[in-house]
Amino acid sequence: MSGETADLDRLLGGDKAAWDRFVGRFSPVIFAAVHRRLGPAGRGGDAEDVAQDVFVRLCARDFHLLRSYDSARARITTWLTVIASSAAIDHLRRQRGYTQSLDEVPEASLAVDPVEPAHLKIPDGLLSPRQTLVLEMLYIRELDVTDVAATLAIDPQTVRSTHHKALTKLRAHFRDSGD
Amino acid sequence: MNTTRKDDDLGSPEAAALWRRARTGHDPQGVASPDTLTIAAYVDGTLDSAARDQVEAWMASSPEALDLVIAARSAVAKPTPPAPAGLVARACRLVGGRPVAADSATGGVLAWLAGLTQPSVWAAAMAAMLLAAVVSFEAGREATVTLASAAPIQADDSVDIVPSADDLI
Repeated sequence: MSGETADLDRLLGGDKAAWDRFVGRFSPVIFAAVHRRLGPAGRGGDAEDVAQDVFVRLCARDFHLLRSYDSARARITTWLTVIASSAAIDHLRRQRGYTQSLDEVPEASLAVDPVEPAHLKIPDGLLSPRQTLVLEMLYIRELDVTDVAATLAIDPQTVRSTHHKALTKLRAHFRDSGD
Repeated sequence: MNTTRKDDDLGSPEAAALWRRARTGHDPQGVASPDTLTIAAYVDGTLDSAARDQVEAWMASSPEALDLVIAARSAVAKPTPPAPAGLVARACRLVGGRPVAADSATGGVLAWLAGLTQPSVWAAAMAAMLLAAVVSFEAGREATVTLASAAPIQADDSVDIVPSADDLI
């Protein structure tokens, strides 16, 4: 067990001081992850409450969620960041559902794609998951190569070559299918 | 500027149109969501290629999944400022009552006994007991009056928990 999680056994055994140390050590990680997601959406003021909800989830039902952590699989700071980011995204989704009227939705979200979609399906396995993801990030999310590379933790040149191979397969597929 | 054919393709309207056309038939509902540990392992870069493919298929299938990984990756990469003191205090109170001060040299039974010597603790306890006694007495008296004056329960007073078949049509 790493130094990051050496206290977890005591915490899960009900040691109050170990819980306090856990909170002191990881509340910056949880709060920062929540705030980074809520702040740009104009909901930074909710960050403290959402971070508190993360702590509630961690200790609910006798630390059920915290007990599921496995230090052999991921760093605890990364795992907590994932949970906190997920909580922030859930919060934004709920807020949108409660507060956003049709008038507030950007026109781009309501616009119908002017291009008539072709009713074609890519055969399973034509593209790898990574090739699909790269195309999705570049052309639907409109991220640039640097952001795609950072998200996938790969070199920008790998993004370019992945993109190129994917397009080659797509062109061949559509050519062979006669469209 | 020396650009290759593959660089020219990237970001071109033709390539974008090709992908929009190709993704029409995708079935994003068919991709299972990985657990939080698997997502964290992906962010840490410790997954094998098969597990990585599963996570990336999930990311491609759902805008919120992609959002989550982007947010987590970004948060992990940046330094974390201190959390608000109010959050720390509230989170500490979730387990075992009062938070233990980080610089406290004593704790456990001694700290608990020291707390009992505070007059304010005893005053609060006495006030709570007195309030509970008054509330219990009043609740019992009202229940007696209500039961004594209540009419017998008729069949028509019952509440339909399960709707009738006519209501469902």
